Amino acid sequence: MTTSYIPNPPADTPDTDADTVRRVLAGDVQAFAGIVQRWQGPLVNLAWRYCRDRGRAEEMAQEAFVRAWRGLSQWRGDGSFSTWLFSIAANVYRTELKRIPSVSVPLDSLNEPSAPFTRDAELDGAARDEAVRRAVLALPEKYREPVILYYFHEMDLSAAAATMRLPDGTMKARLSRARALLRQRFPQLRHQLDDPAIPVPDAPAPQSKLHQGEMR
Amino acid sequence: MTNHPERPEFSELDHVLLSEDPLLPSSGFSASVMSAIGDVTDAPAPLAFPWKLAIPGLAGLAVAVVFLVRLAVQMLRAPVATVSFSRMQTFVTESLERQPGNGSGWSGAGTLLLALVASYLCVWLTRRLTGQSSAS
Repeated sequence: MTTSYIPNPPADTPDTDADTVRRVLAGDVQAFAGIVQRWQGPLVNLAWRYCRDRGRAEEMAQEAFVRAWRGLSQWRGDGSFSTWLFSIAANVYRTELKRIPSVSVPLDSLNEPSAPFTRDAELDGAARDEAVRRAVLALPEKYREPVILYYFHEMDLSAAAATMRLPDGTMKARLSRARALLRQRFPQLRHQLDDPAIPVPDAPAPQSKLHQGEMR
Repeated sequence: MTNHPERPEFSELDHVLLSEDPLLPSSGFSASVMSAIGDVTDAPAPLAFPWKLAIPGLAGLAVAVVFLVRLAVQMLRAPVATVSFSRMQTFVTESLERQPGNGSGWSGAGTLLLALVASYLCVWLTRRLTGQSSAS
């Protein structure tokens, strides 16, 4: 099963966002509610991936919206509004987590099963998935954010790099290293990958249709 | 088999990190954000620094600094005096003779007056700065 963290926006979202921004800049503060309604899901979900704490995720997302509202005049309409907004949000989340780090255990001290996972084996799949997701937060800071953004953007490397304002090459290198660290920590994932007899159920396409329309 | 981010081959790791249930914002989230933005909008603009009021004080400070620097330079350039016991004795004797009772007290009064004026100026500047700031 795969799910999108970015809700299906209307086809005219870029224009809608641009119109809303124009109205807000003209003095209609309440028009900003449209932007909040459209983007609250993605921003809260992105924040959740940074801290895995629901209450804090909403607080950080709120701060991101306030920061976006303050800097709305700096958005140049030639770029994608979503890229601009995600970039602001990522900055806010990064700063917040530097200020008060989320509680995470070191990567080396994460629980690891004695034997590789097999489907429906001793470790429940959901618990295994959660352990892997929490392991992302235990990655060194340099590698953590590329992983978060890469999978948040549904494996769209360019979108993740644009959000971090990094060149694609740098993003790619950090991502490779991060994935290597995760595989090193969870070797069973590599075993499964290397074993063609074990199918991966409900495998989604790496490039989501969502980003084609929305993430320019 | 390798997984390269440039052309990702879909792995179990990808599957795990992609297949996360989306989190729905709480029902009051949007209202809370708009309330926070309202607070920011309603907040008074930050007070500007009172340059008009501060300029006299800053100018006085600059003059004092220049004066002190010049004084220091003069002191450094002056030849080092060699103090001998006989010269010190002469200096002390002359100083004692310059007591107010000896008719040469005007120089002391001048210094005192200068100090009073300087103190008054300091108090006046401070009162002006604080008084006007609180009024604005």
